[in-house]
Amino acid sequence: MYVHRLTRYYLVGLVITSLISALAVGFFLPRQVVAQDASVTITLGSWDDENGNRRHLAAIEDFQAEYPNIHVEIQPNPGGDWHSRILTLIAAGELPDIYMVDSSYIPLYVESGGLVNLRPFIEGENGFDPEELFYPSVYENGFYKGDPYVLNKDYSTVAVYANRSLFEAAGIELPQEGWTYDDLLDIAMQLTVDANGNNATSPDFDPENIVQYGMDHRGDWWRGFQTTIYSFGSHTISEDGTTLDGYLNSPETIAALEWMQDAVHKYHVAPTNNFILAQPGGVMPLFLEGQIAMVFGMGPWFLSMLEETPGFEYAILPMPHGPGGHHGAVCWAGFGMSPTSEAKDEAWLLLKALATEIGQRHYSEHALSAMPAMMEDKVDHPFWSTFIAEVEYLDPLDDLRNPYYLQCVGTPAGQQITAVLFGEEGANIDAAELVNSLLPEFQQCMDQQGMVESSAEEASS
Amino acid sequence: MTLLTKRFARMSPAARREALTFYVCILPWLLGFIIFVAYPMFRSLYLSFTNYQIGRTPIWIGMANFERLVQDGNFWQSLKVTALYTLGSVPGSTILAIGIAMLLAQKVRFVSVWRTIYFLPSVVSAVAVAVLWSYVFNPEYGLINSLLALVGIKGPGWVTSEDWALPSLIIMSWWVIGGQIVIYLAGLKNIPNEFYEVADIDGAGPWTKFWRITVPMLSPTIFFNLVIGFIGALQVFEGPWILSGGRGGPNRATLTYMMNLYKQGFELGSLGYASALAWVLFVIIIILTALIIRSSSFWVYYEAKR
Amino acid sequence: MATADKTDATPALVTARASRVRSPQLSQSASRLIGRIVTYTLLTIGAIIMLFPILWMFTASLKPEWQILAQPPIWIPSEWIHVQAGDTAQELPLYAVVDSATGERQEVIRIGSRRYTTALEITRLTEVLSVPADELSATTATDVDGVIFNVRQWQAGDGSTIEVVALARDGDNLIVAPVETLRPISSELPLAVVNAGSRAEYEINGITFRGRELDDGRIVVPLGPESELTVVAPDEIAADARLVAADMIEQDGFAPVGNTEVQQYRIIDGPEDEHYVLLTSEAWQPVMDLETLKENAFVVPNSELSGDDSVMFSDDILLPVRTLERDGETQSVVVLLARSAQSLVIPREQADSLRLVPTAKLALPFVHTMDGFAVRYKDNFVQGGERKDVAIVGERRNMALITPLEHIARAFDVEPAALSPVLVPRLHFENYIDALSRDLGGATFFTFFLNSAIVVILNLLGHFLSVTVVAYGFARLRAPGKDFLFMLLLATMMLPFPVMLIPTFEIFQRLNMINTLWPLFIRSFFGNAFLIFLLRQFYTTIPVEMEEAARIDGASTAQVLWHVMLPLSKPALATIGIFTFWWSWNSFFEPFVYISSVKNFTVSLGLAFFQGQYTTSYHLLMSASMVAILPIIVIFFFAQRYFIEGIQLSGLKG
Repeated sequence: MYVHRLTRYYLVGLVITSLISALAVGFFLPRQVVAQDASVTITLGSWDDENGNRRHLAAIEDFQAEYPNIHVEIQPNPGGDWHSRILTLIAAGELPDIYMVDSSYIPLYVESGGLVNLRPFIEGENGFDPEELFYPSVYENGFYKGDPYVLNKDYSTVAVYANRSLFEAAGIELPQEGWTYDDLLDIAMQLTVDANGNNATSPDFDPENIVQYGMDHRGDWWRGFQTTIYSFGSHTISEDGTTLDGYLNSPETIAALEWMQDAVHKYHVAPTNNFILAQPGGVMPLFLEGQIAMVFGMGPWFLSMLEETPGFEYAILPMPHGPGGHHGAVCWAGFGMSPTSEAKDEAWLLLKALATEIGQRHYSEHALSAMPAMMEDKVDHPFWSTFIAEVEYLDPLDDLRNPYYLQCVGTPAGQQITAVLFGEEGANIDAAELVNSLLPEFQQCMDQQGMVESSAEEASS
Repeated sequence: MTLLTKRFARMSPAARREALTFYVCILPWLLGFIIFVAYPMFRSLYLSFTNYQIGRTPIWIGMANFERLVQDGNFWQSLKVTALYTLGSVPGSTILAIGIAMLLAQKVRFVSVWRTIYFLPSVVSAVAVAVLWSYVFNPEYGLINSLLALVGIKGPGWVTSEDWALPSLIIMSWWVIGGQIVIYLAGLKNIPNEFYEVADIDGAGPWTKFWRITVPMLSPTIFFNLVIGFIGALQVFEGPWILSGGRGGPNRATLTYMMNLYKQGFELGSLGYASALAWVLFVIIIILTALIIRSSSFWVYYEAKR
Repeated sequence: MATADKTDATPALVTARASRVRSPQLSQSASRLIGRIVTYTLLTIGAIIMLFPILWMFTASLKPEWQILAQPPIWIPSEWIHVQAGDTAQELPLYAVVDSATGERQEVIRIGSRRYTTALEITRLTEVLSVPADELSATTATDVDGVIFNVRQWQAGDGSTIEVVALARDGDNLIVAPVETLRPISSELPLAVVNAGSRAEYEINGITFRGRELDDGRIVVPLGPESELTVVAPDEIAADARLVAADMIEQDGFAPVGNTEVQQYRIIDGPEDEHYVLLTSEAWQPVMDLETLKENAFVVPNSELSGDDSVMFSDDILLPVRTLERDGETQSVVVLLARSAQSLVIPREQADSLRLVPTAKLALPFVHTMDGFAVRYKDNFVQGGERKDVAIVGERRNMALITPLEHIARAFDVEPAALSPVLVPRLHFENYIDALSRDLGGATFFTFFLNSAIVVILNLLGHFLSVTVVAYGFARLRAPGKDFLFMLLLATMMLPFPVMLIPTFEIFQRLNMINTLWPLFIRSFFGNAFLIFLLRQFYTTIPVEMEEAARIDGASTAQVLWHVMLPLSKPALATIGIFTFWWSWNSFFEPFVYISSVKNFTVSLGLAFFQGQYTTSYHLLMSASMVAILPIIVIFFFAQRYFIEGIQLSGLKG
């Protein structure tokens, strides 16, 4: 197509101008202009989305009001990739001075040289007395091999979200603390209804046409299932973090797996994992529509969805007791300090502030705080009370026992054990056989990573 | 090298100047080749024999990585997934593309409009395609199952079902055949009409015309695109990554080779092992390409060059 | 043949031949027509398959979130109409139901649901049978005189067929009883009534049945099937709704309304005959506009406040109103937040935006620190179509939303499936604004676009600078070793990049370029094998004479390139430009490996990341996708030719 000469020159000129301006903008825009002559700038890394970051920013604002000569720059990196990329960041020397850490990753980061031992700071002149400030069981989740590396930002416990209207319509009383997994099954059966209106206790129940389920499960999320395993009386790895045999495949663990497997396939009170995966947003939309009566909820993460459904009546129930008692697994996040930080003292001040009142004032509005003082207001709150009560029953996480637990056991177990047993194909799979067939692979994975450690040490010695 | 310098010495000044100019001209590419192709290849070969964690120095461990991958369930699973995907995606998309190209090659009106429509999906990035199809495949609210429900069929779980996850990926790959359609369309246009006319006079039916004229004339194009297609399919990443949320699920049903490589190298930090995986893939590709090329002499028809 | 024969035979033969001659023509054009119909049909189907997903994405991007999840799918983006409950902050969704009797469409709101089940008075049952399950047919829900049973057919030993109902399981058998004996002793009871009874057991013939003992002493066994009915009433009743403290009302039995019953309430210490229906019962809390609070509220020591808690802001909003003495002036202030020594107060005149809202809407507030007071606030609180930040003050109270019973004379039960939401079509363009302005950790989509633009432009620059020159070398210049290098070039095109990935990563690591945009464009300054090859092929089609003429005139290589080769290569250059743009814009894996900070993400990374964050919000996801693909689609429409020609060049091996 013949383009007029003038147009051609114009186009060329346009291209060159946009090129130059884009280059200029591109290279100058990312540079943060530090306004005042702040003497020190430290960076804070977080994986939160915009709401979470607003809390960080509010906390930072309050912190800077108290320490005007420390300027804090937030480096947000939302998304699950954050955890996977920490190793790359460690290698590239790109860690922020203070950054968020999920408790499962503490051992790995410490072993990879990404976290600073905080004991000298806590016991130093700008320190604090942890016993005065924190719930001990929560505080100790930031420890590895006896030393504190991460201070808690917030955490969540597990409880059961229940659709109160469904309970009332069916005339079932809301369970109280002390109810058992048998009670759970019983209630779930009454609340599982097929298209003809028969609930799961009826001989006419049609499992092919269920319109309402009594409960759900956590699918391929191993952490979610750990609560049940602990409640049945076992952990999945030895206390020294070396052995899976006898723990991951203990009779109690298998019993827990089989209980849920039966719930899905034999009693039909919970949907298959495939069904749950198919929902955008997981089970919550189903819960809000009245299609699942009880949902295991990890903390108040679902509260924002509840608020968008006016008139929906719910209750938060405590976790049931298993044969091993009432136990819970925690979801815990905190802040740690990078060894490559060039302003460790200032970074410590920020870290301390975020873990104590200045930060907790903001974080405790959307999650549980390690500071009992912050939780006073919520102890009788319709949302929070049960979650706070669950703190008492928290068990130390298996993830903390081995740096490679999450990658070698946690994630694959979720995908290859619970997702399969509770999935469409899981009806006839023998749980013990499945676990025993996978256990050697998981063990080998953990050991090999350990081999990496030892061979690396050999090489450097 | 000495051969080169000897030749250089024997050249005329003008020729020497020209040779110099040549090397100056290609210098950017040559540098790039050395830095970003040659060196990396040797280095990654070396790394595949080392234990190399991110942030540390590589330690020679000989064949250990290769022993490890042979025992690794993830390796075999990813190989199987990738092989099935390739077998499902490449022949299928080739057949579809040729079919549609043949439809378009007839004297259809608004050819360019049709061509635009069919090409449009391949213009968009693989990520956007995957994001879109993650919604299309949604078992409860997605396009496909909603349409099936209208006729009373309960659709499968697609990406959430272990059995259907890989077929979903394959189906998605058949949607972006616009490029291939364009290529085959051009290829078909290159077939001289006389061939068909002669065949008509001889009383050949459409099937015969297809197998005796169209396919042989297209065969160089088909051959080339098959090779490219296979190599591409063996390295597929974006689609499965987005559709499985980076997990390769359900139950590793969509764990492709590149996903496994990425996870091992950049999520678990075992760069040495990942290098070994990369070289295994490379060898597989070489063997496969050699096989296809070898077989080509049986079915690829090259017009005598003028 | 003899002429005579021919003439005799001709008519038949001619006609036969003629018809034979004619029909091939007919069938030829007929088959061509059919061929064309088939072709166009197939092409249309294919085109629909190609376009429909994109269209689907577009409509989804304009729907509100709840509509994406709706089943059966609602195709047109719409909005669900709500009615305000009285003058409170509660809004009730509006449904439509077609009255089966009159065929009239009515707009209603839900006021509750009741679940019924068929309950059998087990104590009045005298005999049961144990029957092998395989002798029984499947169940059919049957209405037997107003009571619904799950009826099965049983082939009795004597050949007769009896209608029975299964009562319990006994191994492989089912315990059954004939429907006729069951009907007189069964009724439809509300499930709430049945389950309120204590568990009881009853034995017949050695078989134990588990049932419930009701208040009136009857022992019943719920047989099912359960039916759920939603109680609805005309939407006008919403207007009369009001809030009262939850402890001010008490239950007062059931009242028949329309064709159903509702639980009625009366106000304690209120008129005996005034009854209400409970719409919701939940916690409410006072809020006020955050802006107003920030501007007008202030902190005072409690010592400066006089008065007591006897005066409240209003009956519903229990915030004390005190008198403040300051600088000799007195004013009335409302105490918003009180601590032991200080209080946050606001002048009475500025407190008019105080109102009650359900606590459920105030989950996950943020905190604004003001003079040492932590003021909790909820952002973007939607009320009456307005979005504002509201500060949460005062205390929670359990309140009941009630409406007078006499106004709901026409309440009735319906099957939940008979209710359809009342919708009005509306394109939710705000999804786009929402998706694009989401702060994804210090970056929005605008940032992603900027990063991609930078990468694209630099790649264009790099390619144009390097490819043009290198291709010329391969096309025109002779040198020892050239053929070998050219083969190397071709080989590079086929090399799978994973094998070079990790060392390349190492190189960039050493150059400190990880997590920057550098790795994404720097290599284009070293050429690109495919594009070099493409341009080289093109150069060779330019007649050598043009170049020779220029050389004779004394032109250097650079001048030859600039004045001769490039002007003649415009189409190929355009193709190079288009391809560079295309690859750079769509590229995912390399940015994925090299970039970890959101603020450096390109568009494809940003979209993938957005998808990971907002898997639940398809409306936002689809909006973001539409925007992400817009630039490449626009360029495609304007420069189709180059895309297609380029692809053809790449696919047809010469």
